Amino acid sequence: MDVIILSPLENVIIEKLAEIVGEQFISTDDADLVSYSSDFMIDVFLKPDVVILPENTPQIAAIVKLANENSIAITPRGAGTATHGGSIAQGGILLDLTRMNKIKELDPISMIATVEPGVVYEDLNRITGKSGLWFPIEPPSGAVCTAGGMVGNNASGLMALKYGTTKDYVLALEVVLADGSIIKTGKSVLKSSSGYDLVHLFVGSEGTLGIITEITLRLIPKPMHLSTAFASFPSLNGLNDAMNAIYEIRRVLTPAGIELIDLQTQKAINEVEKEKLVPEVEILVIFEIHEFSAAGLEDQKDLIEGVARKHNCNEIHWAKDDEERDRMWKARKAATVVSVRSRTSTLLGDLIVPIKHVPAIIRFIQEVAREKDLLISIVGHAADGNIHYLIPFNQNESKKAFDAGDAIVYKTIELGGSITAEHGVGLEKIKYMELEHGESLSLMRAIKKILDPKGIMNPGKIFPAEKQ
Amino acid sequence: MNNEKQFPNLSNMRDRIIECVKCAFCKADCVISKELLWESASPRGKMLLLRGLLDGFGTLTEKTIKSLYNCTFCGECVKDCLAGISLEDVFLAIRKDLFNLSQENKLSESAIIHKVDMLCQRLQENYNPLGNLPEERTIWELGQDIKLPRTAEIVYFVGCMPAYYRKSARTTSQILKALNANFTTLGSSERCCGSLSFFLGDEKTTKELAHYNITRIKESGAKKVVTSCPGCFSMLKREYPKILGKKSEFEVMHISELLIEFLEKDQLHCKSELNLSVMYHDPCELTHFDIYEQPRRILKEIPGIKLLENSENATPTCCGGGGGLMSLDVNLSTKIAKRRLETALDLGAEALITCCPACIAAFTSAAMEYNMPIKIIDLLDLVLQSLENKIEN
Repeated sequence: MDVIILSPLENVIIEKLAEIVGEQFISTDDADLVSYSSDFMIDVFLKPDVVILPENTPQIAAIVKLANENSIAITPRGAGTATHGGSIAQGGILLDLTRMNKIKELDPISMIATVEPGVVYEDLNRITGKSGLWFPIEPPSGAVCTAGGMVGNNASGLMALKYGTTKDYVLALEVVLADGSIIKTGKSVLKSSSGYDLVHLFVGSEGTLGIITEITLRLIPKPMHLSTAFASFPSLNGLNDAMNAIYEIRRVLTPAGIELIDLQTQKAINEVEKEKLVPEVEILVIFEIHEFSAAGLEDQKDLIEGVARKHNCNEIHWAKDDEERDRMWKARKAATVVSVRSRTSTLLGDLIVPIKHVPAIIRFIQEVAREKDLLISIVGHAADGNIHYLIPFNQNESKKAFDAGDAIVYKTIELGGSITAEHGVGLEKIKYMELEHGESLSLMRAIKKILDPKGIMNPGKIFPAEKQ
Repeated sequence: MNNEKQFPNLSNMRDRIIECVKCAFCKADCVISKELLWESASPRGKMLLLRGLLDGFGTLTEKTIKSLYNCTFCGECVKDCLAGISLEDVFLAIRKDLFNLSQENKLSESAIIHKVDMLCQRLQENYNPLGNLPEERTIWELGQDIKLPRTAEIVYFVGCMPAYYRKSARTTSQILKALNANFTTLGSSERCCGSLSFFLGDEKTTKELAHYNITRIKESGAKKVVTSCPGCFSMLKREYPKILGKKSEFEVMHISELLIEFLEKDQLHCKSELNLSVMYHDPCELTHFDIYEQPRRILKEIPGIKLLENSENATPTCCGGGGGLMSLDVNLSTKIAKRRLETALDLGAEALITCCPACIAAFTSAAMEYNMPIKIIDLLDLVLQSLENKIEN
């Protein structure tokens, strides 16, 4: 895709942009260019030419129209909590959507909410919670990540096993297309078989097809009874024990979440927190269960405990109260951060394999770590096949770290998996797109070309450069 | 390009800056970030600015400088940081470097640095950051029936705002007197605790003030120092030993802790009924010492007080006045205070109660500016009202 980026932007364009949003909400100051130059984890620092905080859809439409007329790249961004560089921009306009943070409608009868893209996930649930309703994705970054970012990346989280991912809740969207026109697609209804499903074309498109300016979400009742447990699988065969327990449990009930943490990550968590937040065992599994009755919760606990113990779990500890439950999840949320503190760079993987291959891919990662003499931490949503691996490295180790990352991705594809389950492609995983998608990547390119002929929407993301 | 020589204090923090994986969890409870929205206002954005300064991909623009002073040091980012980074130490380090650069006239173009210089100069000249005359420091004693001994078991370290705004100092001393506490003050010998110069990066002034005040306290013979200002409390309890490199020879307490001692000895009796629905606001500098329960326990002792709490209130959030922000950007500080008052009003509170003169100033200013129907009351005023009636009875 040929992209013409005017860099630096001509002053006349800046002035027009300022007229659209007001001087207060546009900046070319280096303080803003630098502070938007990166996102979570990735060691890439790119400066846009200008940062804009729009307030509403008409402003975005006017900005995009101007950008399209002048072939200026435009990159949308939520809270910048994705991990692959999808929301950073080399030149052009960076559109920070966090100012558009209104909940436009909450319909507790239909159990539907319509929100602007900058609404923070937990803020939304605080409001819907007053009606007993819930948007149940629970990404670890829920305290800061935005609805728009979640839709853009098709984010998921800690409860995907039971509740699915963001795409399962998006009913309708308002999108500003690359020519500045505004479309509404989907309806505030729970199902529709009317034509192509454009809503889900935009979900996970990472801002490459248009700017999502309004999201209609399906909500569900929030369960009244919750519990969380740490289950320890201590033997050297702990991985197989844990996965066998998980397979058996999944056949009879669906816990809200099942997480797996390896020993290395457990140690890192305890080191940072300066208290023993998690037990240190070969494999630690976190079970999260939700029910609408206390009796149902107890039944689930009994079943999980029985199966886990059958598979050599030597201790299963259920949280005594909400405070302990919060502490347990704090430990899990810290897992991706604490494992990488001591190195200058990190490679974070987000692979997903068919669930039966989880032990195989984890063993493969461990083998790669041994072979390359790297410390690779493993945490993941074990029961849906989504495994995160973290390879922290110093500059002199970068080649072997990237070689290790490549090897793990190739194995993932070989096992029938996908290179990214919930983080998106961004900049970092572009190199694997052809490998995963083969010919269907051409169809993706064709769709992109129809919707964004000049290639101004988040250029350089998702698609590898076309071969000449 | 590497700028380590220009920013020596910041360079010492390089490892912590690199440890930041930019997860942005620090934004969740940052009042500045919520108010301004720009990434440069968030703790993560500031960490990126600092990395940019050290590694040469960022420049020191006026907005960069302003961003680095847009911080109340409430400490919420530190609590939220999953990597366990003490962001406050990093933000203090750059302020020290900026202050030192300003002393070499290297940042003379910067309006914000000019303001910082002015505030620190005022402090150096008058020994208080308010611009009042040093000899007026004991003006609060006028009309008070208090004859304080030269030496006593307890020194009440009054602090600048209580002393010059008078009410808080008078209330505290009246309570101590009513409780028959063996106390005195440093009188006109007291100087600012140095909280403002500390947060503005003026190490020399802070150290001089710490040394001076510690000497005066030692002369008083006191074994215990009590403050009614959380800022003074934090400086005396945590920072002075660090600055002077030695342990305190006396115990430092906030007045709420001392009142609990009296309560537990059954010597604090709040009798008078004050019918009021209130939200208690936790001053940041008390939360840093885990002082949450003590003020609430005192409030619960006052008959008729209905203490309203909810999950949002349980997560402490800043008044917007700390870290020098009220002096540097009163508009921003007031907007932050307004948000907190909105939480109190949403809860149905008739009054917001706190026990920090800076918080009271920030909230009073916001309530007036935005015409908000809520009273701002010092916890000590409530205690005194309740005690006074008992005395009258």
